[in-house]
Amino acid sequence: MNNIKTFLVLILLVLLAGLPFLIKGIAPGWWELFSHILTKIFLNVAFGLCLWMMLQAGMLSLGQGAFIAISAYMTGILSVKYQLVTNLWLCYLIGALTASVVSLLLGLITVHLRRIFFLLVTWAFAEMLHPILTSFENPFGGAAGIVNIPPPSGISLFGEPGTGYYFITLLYAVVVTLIIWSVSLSKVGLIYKSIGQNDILTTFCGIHVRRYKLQVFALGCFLTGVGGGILASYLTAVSPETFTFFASLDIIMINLIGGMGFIMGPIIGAVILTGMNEILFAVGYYKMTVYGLMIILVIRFLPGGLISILAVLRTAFRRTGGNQKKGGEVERTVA
Amino acid sequence: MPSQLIMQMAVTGLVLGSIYMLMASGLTLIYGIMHQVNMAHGVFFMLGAMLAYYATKFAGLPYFVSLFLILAVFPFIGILFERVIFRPIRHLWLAGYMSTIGVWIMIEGLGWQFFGTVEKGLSFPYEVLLRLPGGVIIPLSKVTVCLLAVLIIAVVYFVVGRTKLGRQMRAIEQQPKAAKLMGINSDRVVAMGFALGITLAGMAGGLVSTLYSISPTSGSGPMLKAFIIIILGGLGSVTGSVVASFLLGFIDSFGGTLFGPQAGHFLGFALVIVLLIFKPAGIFGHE
Repeated sequence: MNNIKTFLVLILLVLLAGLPFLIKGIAPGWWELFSHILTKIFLNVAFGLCLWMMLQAGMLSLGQGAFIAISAYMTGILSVKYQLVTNLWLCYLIGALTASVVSLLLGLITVHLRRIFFLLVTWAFAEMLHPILTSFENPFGGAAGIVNIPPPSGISLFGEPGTGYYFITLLYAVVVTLIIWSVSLSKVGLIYKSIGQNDILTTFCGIHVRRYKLQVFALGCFLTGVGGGILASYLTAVSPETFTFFASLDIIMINLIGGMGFIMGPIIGAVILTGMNEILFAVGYYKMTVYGLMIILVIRFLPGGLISILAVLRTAFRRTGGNQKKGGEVERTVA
Repeated sequence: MPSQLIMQMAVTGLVLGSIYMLMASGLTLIYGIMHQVNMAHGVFFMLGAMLAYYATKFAGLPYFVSLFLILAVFPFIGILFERVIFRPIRHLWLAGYMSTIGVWIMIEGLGWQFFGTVEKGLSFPYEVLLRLPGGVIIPLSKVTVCLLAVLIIAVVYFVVGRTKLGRQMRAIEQQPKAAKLMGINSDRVVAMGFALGITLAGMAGGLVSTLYSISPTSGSGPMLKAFIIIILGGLGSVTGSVVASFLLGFIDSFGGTLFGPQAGHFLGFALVIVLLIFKPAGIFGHE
């Protein structure tokens, strides 16, 4: 079974690596659109997986957009505003470390809170970032933000920048997936899971719950932050309007649509949500209405996410019956 | 600093505080009864303001009649939403939470579509400037908003504290199962509680429509404040949220005047951080 999985993943990777050359060969005009959507998908996969890892420890954060923003702004400030660091890769690293440190500071006073309080405080934190970014002209550039953020150094290897960002974000998504996959299989991953299921019981098992919660928060925000820096380069500009409430909400929605039970959930969710966002771009204000309606309907009729369809089918196929996943997957994972 | 300015800021603080009080007490009420955080509170605020605006501007009703219209319409909207969307998932906290976000975004999107992007505002029909001794000038509209808000909160205290419905609500808040065993129709009471909370948000919106301009997104600011207030006051404590509302109203007013309009957001959050460090359960809260 494990061999088959590894084989499938390898095939998928080879396909993704060959995709640019395939599309450029068949329909060169479409590549610009495809590379844009796929780049966004790869970034969202990584962001969604970072939140998924935190969700395993029962920490639902509605402020992930803020950590992306912190890292993206750090990249912009270091590379353009003050021109301290010319190597963009170093900028991404420093940005991610900043996001991680901020998350640690926020975590120090919030990780012991009940989950709904944690959610509210991270949300308030993300909302508070917006006025700060808008009102301080000097480091953050005010409402206009920071423009002309350069691409990283190795990007010319791949020809035009679209292909370059495709491969950079693909690499980022694969590395993040591997890290989070191995963490979730390791002993630490099991500890996160048990904290998510019952933190009091976990404390009684002699596990320092607070430390592990801080650890997963900082790690998740670090990995998210790397993507934030890449996003800043990709968009070439950051402004307070780039990182609104929807940036944070999208990351939760990725987990909700895909399903939180398995690591494949957020990956599927990211593909579908990103695709939908691009398609819904055409309908204007109805985009919000459709988005809201989608949240309500998914929760009502598919509480385990899309991945739960697979699980239900598999149990039905095996006719074991006993282990059937009926919904409420969201709750069991987080509660 | 002249005492005149201080008085003016205090008046603004009182007005903001009374609006926040309506929002936050509705949120607390809904949390207490449904055990669910209502992220759609802001859009009901917006709908209340829009209803008052359209009833006054287009249907030609007097302003106070349109406020009564909110009182008449919003309970039914609340019951409808509770019945259709929130009841089937009431026992699941994350699902409930995310559905309220879904309702928020759906209604805000519809709002942009139907109300347009132009900011709207009503003028208070009986506007008089009251001149107090000491050179302080207060418009009558602000006084009316404060008085009406206090009146509404008094009615809420009466309903929750003295009536049969209020006793049933408190029973469900304390022990949902035991309340059911005592023969309380919990579905009905929860629906009424949600309707009451929504109506408070709608009334806050209706009152605000004469003071500030309104747009489809204008509910999210007061809602964020209301959340900061219930974190400060402790979830589920109405008294705590009333005290914290006026605290935040004064902080917004003084901070906004002294340090610029964006400072209010920041100071409120800073207060949350300080409080979370020293007293995690809120001023009046209990774990």
